[in-house]
Amino acid sequence: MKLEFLFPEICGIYGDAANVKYMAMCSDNIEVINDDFDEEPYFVNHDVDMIYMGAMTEFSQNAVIEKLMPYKKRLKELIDNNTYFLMTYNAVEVFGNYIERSGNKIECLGILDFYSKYDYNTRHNSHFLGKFEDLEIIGFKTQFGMIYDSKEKGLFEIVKGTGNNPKENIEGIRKNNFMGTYLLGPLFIQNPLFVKNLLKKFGIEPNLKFENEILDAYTDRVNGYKHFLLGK
Amino acid sequence: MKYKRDNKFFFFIALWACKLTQVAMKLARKHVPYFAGNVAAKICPNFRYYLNKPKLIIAITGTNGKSTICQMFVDFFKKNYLKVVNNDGFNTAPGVIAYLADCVNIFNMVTADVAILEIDEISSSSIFKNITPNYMIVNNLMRDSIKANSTPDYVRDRIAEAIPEDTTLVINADDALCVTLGNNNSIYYGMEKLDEDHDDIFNIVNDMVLCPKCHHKLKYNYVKYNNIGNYECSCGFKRPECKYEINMINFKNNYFLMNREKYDINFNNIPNTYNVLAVISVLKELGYSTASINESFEKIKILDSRFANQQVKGKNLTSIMIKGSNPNTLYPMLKTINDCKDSKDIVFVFDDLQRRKYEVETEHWIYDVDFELLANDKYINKIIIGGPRSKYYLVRLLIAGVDKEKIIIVDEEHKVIDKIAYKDVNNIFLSYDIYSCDLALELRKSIGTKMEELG
Repeated sequence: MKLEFLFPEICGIYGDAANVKYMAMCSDNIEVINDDFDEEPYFVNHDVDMIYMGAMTEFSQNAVIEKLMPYKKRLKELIDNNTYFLMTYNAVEVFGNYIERSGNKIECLGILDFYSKYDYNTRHNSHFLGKFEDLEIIGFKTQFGMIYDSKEKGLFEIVKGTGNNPKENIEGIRKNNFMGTYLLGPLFIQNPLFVKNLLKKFGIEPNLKFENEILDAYTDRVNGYKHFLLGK
Repeated sequence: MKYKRDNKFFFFIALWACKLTQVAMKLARKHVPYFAGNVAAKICPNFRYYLNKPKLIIAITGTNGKSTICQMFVDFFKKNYLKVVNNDGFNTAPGVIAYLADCVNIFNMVTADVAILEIDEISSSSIFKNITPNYMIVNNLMRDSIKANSTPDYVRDRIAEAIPEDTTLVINADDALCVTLGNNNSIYYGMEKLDEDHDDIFNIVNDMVLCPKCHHKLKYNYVKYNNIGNYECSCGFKRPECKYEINMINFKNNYFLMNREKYDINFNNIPNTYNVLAVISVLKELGYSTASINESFEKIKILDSRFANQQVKGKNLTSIMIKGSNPNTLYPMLKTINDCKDSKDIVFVFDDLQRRKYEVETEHWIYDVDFELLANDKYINKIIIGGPRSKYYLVRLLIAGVDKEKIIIVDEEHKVIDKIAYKDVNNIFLSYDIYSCDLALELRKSIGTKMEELG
């Protein structure tokens, strides 16, 4: 399995880079390709199984949009051909139509039909409890930006927490095998069953690294979330 | 903006109300100065405009080191018989207002010589209205709690929009993001290349990858930690020349040379060296001599609550505070542990004791911490993690490559005391969160007692 990590130097902050690190630890059959920001991305001329991009600063996001713009046709082609994508935190915004930030409208790749808007007067912090197929998903959200007017499907069903914006009842974006979510941090480590599910899709034996310890922590965490969010 | 109560009459009412509130708080043994500041602002919205200020105001902002720098200034000025007011960590607008009100008497006559103001980075724009510091130190801008501060770029922008025109910025030249705040009148401090520097980025956290001018990757010539070091870009952006520069550091013999002059110190890490350098830079600008700086500081020390080393029966117990959600503060701790080439047990108690009462803690930041430094350290006997979230730290350490056999987890912090192998190790390191200082004191005492009994 080829797992391409777009620009790890700038697109894996706040623990997001750990997603790729952990997934690669789960199998010897995963080859990680790290794209250097100053070079042409690997996907431009190669097929891959999955592309990951994670959290970045707003300054970096502007640079990433500029960097990927020449390749938006190729990215659309990959998404239409069911290549897996996982975009976490503000990486997902790059694929929408535009971002409104501080009175500026920043044109994005326009591959997915939504826009993002930042409100620097309101920092949204919340915990999230949701579902992906039958799996319980937990996560953490902290953001100024929100997704609006999405014509795409959601990724996670909400059990408790905020969706793409306070009025939406879906979290994240799903189109074919493109998955985008605002959940920040080591999503895979916090949700090991989600990783197992993903590994199976690539025909990889879903043996998690440090399986006992990670599942023990996961159970503990889900119970903690349910206690604080649902009063259970 | 003009307010109805925008006149001297209301100002004096506000000033007296602020002072009375402070007295009442002291009598009630409640230390909440921001309440007094809010009272003043409510009565007279332009309170700060009418308030007389001391001749010298030094502001300090940045992600790490603010309190240490402030305390050093306070110590220095007190030893030099100046009346100094410091806002004591109450670094948002109401706290600053209350402490500036302490600089005057009830007739608004200035009684303080110096005000040292620690400034919360995000609150800069609300603080500097009608307050113009003579100097403002920008020590570093790094990844901090994303919940409170978002990203370093965002923090930088908040500071940039607030800097008063007449304030002289004193900036850490080795932090490229800080340098983007500079102007033609800014003063820079930094460190030359030292033997222990790395040739390139070596920590997980690098908050300044791209050139702020052209978006290409910056080239680092040497790095002290994270992205602190000497950098340049082909477009011309680069580390500026420093007016105050450390030429060499000798931690073993407790001194460094700055501009070829010797300063005595009593600590042993690079981040604290920057804190001290920031202070010395401003003192030099004010005209103080090296001799008077050395004399006043008598071997510059760091607050005992943040770093303490005690010897018990020939063995070392070292306590090091970190700031949870701020991965940069853990690197000096991990390096101190790693530099110890002798048998050691390590105790981590990192749970945020306040926050865990009412919310699930977030753990994303621990994946930005360089726990990988512990992976191949053959001198580690055990790593003992205490607290309800010890299982999450266990996973982190395993992913970092630490041998599972070396890790012990206990669900309650006091249980760590009985897990330490007192007879087998010569060194015990205890690291704790900033909100767990009381707990850390208890643990230090108990561990010290056990070392006496069993060591």
